[in-house]
Amino acid sequence: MCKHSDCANYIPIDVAKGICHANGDITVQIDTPTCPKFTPGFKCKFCSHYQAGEQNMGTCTGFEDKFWAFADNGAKNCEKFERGAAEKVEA
Amino acid sequence: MAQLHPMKLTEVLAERGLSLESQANGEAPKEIQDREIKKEPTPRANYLRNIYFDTLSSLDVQESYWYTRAATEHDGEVPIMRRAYGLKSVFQHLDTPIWPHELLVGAKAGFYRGSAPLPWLTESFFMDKDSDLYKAALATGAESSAEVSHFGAGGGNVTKSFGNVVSVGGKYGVRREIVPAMHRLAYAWAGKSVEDVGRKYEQMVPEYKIKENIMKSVVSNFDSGFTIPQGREVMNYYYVLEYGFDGLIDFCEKRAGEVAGEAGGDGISGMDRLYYYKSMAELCRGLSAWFDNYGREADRLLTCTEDETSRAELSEISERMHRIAHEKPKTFKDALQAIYLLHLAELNEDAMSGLSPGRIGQVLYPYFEQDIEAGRLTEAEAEEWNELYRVKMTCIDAFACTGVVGGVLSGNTFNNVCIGGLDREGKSAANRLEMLILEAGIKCQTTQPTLSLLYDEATPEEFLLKCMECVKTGAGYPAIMNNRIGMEFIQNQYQHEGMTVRESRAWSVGGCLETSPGTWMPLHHGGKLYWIPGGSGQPTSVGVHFLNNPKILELTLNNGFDKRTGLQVFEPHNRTFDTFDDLVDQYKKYYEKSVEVLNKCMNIQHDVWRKFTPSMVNSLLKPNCLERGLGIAQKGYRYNATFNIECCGMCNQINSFAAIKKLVYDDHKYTLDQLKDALDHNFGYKTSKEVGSESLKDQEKRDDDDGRYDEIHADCLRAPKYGNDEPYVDDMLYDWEHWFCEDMPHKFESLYAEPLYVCQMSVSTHGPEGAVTAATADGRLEGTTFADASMSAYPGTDTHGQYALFESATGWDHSMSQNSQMNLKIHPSATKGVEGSRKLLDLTRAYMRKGGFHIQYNIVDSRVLKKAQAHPENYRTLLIRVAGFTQYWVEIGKPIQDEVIARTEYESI
Ligand code: SF4
Ligand code: SF4
Repeated sequence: MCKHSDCANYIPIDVAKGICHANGDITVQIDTPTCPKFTPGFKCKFCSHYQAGEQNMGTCTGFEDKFWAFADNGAKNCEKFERGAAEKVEA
Repeated sequence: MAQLHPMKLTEVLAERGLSLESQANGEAPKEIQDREIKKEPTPRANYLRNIYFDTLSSLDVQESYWYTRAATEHDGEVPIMRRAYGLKSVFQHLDTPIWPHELLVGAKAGFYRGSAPLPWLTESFFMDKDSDLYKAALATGAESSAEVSHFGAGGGNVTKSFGNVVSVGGKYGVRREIVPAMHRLAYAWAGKSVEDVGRKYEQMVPEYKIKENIMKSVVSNFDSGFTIPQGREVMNYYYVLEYGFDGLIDFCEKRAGEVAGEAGGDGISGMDRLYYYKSMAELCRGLSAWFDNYGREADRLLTCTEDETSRAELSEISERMHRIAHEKPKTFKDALQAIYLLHLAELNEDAMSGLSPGRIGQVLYPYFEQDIEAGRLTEAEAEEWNELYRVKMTCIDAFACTGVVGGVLSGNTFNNVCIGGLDREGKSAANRLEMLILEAGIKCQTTQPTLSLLYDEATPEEFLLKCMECVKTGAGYPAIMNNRIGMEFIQNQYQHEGMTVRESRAWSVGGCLETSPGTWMPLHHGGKLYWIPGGSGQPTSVGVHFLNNPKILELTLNNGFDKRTGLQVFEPHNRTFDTFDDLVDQYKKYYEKSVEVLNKCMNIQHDVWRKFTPSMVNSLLKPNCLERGLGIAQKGYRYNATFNIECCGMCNQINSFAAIKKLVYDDHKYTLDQLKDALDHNFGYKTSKEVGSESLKDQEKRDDDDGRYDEIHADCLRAPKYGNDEPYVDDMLYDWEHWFCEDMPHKFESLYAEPLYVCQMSVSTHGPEGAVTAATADGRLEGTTFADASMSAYPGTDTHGQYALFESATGWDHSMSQNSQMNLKIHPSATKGVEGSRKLLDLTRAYMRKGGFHIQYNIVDSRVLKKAQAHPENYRTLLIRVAGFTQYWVEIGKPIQDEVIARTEYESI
């Protein structure tokens, strides 16, 4: 289940909340229901190179050397990020 | 009528005409008085500061992940290259958020107030309490001070877990979903971190067991090599301002080619130069990408932003960040943006506190002057950018263990900006931009950066009065440091490394009070040459951390045995102390033993650190590493004699010396055994643990107390006290200072084979170190907080006014020490109006002219603090000066809050 913090419109403040840029820069609490404007953001879990495993961790195959990765890692600046099937995850 | 409740210390003292909340020089007005000066920040700075007020300290493991991944991929590389690849990957990949209405961008981690674990340095303290890593650390005493350290329950501290947020280290919040990754990263470094490898080798010091006992009994507060191994120093932003990243990359690549295969003369460091230049080139590429990524984020936001003003601002950010990712800054805004990100870059390479920007008003002045002249900048804009800088600096968090962040730092990060002082030619260096920095500090009150005035007789009156106006806001800054004393210390300590009088004028303050060497750098801007000051020494305040002076006296009286932990900390001395001099002699022996053992162990820890995770950003920026091609491990820095010995509780120690000498050896009123018996029984009071508080005013009598210690306690309280211009006790202080500053440290050598020096400031250690110390002969009760600072009097004992306190404090040469510290609390009514400002300046001048090194003020009505303690929810923005730093009231622990309330309040000057 996706959270505000998974959304491309979300600007993080802290571990509990952030700012929604699509709704007039209002504050949103991470653990509250998302809105219809949800758009998948940039995290390993939305990358085609991410293979999910246990405990929110998995494997990254995007680079020359495979390495473990974790689903919630921010990927905005990962040069190998490619949007994958997880994009279709419903909000 | 019989007492229905245990008698409080406050009541006992009141019966004897003594008080814990002392007023001196008159009485406070009946009505509570607010601070006189109040101004508002710009709406933009206010908006961004309000976000901060509602932000939790948050942990992000992005940095931990990318460093670990790159270091794993480059396993087997030359260590400095492996580290460079790790840091390059971090800077390339970190999230680069930009918050609404920002002009100045940048974040340490992916949150507004974020930080990250650095498990290659230390990994035990952020593990679950039942993990094997945590248990191993516990057995070494590494976590002992954490057990008696407190965070404030308010502000952004995540002291308890809630919902999907897990509390780590008593202060930070981490999302539950990334906890498994955080633990995996920690275990990836188990046995390989600086902490673990250093521990393995320090155990080879024959007296390691004593070191372990010292840590467990909190004779010293924390380890040095893996906690906050960098900081307490002054940044130098020069090379990036002069050359830009592309220029630096070209330079490093060219030099690498020149030195490759050359032995370099000494047959040892020749090839190190090759690896140094290659690693710096890689690091610069990472930093350049990081700057560029902020430009990319601005570009991304532009695609989903409609508001025209916001679009214009984002376009400006984008243009600037893409450009300064490669070129040297052209404008004031470029330069401020560049130095802010460089500051964060340095903070991201290590666990750190006390990284000071230094004299940035003088560093940025060339840009300011030329922009104003060309009409590219207004003073109002420059001031707003300084306000935004204040908010940004306040968002900096340091992630380290509880004993350090809670017990020492009170959650503060100590980014000190200095103003004033002298220029290269010996004239006043105060300038117009520094006036705006002060104005920004008045309008946008935040904890960071704290300000310090380098007071010199050449500093203009107008500038000094502006400083007093700022002090009167109650923000606690600027602290006032004596320029002459600072220069003298620098000349003495670094003469053998080439320090000159001219160069000593470039000094500045690292952390809260750490006098640090600097250098004049030739900046070329707009066709002109400017000599700008910048730091040029290794991190200071590394080495022996916060020796607990009263605790060592307790151990001396108890034959080296610590009753609290049941440990025989030192070898028993089996002496009877027929004379007072015998007692002091043994005290010094234990003291020296502590320094000897800790110095050896810390040298090992720091050696592992410099081999595994040496400073990189720091050594890129500090002269003369780039010129020499040598990093910290090869003494590439211009000044390397920066290791020190810190102490805490000196006022209680000296007052206790005076009480013992007077009551036992001079007046023969009690035997030493009788005094020890009274101390062992805490003068008939409950222990602080039983009371559940380490604050003096909460202490209460034992239920079964029969009053047998009342008289001796009263005598101890009435014995001569430091701070009253009383030679009996003051002379003991001067003798001690001479031994402590001159005789003792020179017996030891730092890792860099350089002489040690001493550092005398408590930060917040007077809370936890008091908590582990039995009752002291000055009448202080078991477990209660010591006097803060080193030149401050114990609360309520300085009864003869400020000038008597100054006499007591200045009978020794302050330039023998890296610092000394004086905190005064003054009621706002005493500094009212222009006349009040002048009085405050006169008072300050008097202390400086007598040779005091440092003074700082809390201009506050103590009753406001009591209200704030009772209703913290109404005081989120209240600032208070603790011991060398300004902190939000709600973010400091109760023992320190109580100590600030209890400090003597001067009602007039
Ligand atoms: S889910 Fe909706 S409210 Fe939440 S961040 Fe995305 S757009 Fe904003
Ligand atoms: S390629 Fe980058 S974004 Fe994709 S899984 Fe790997 S690390 Fe994550």
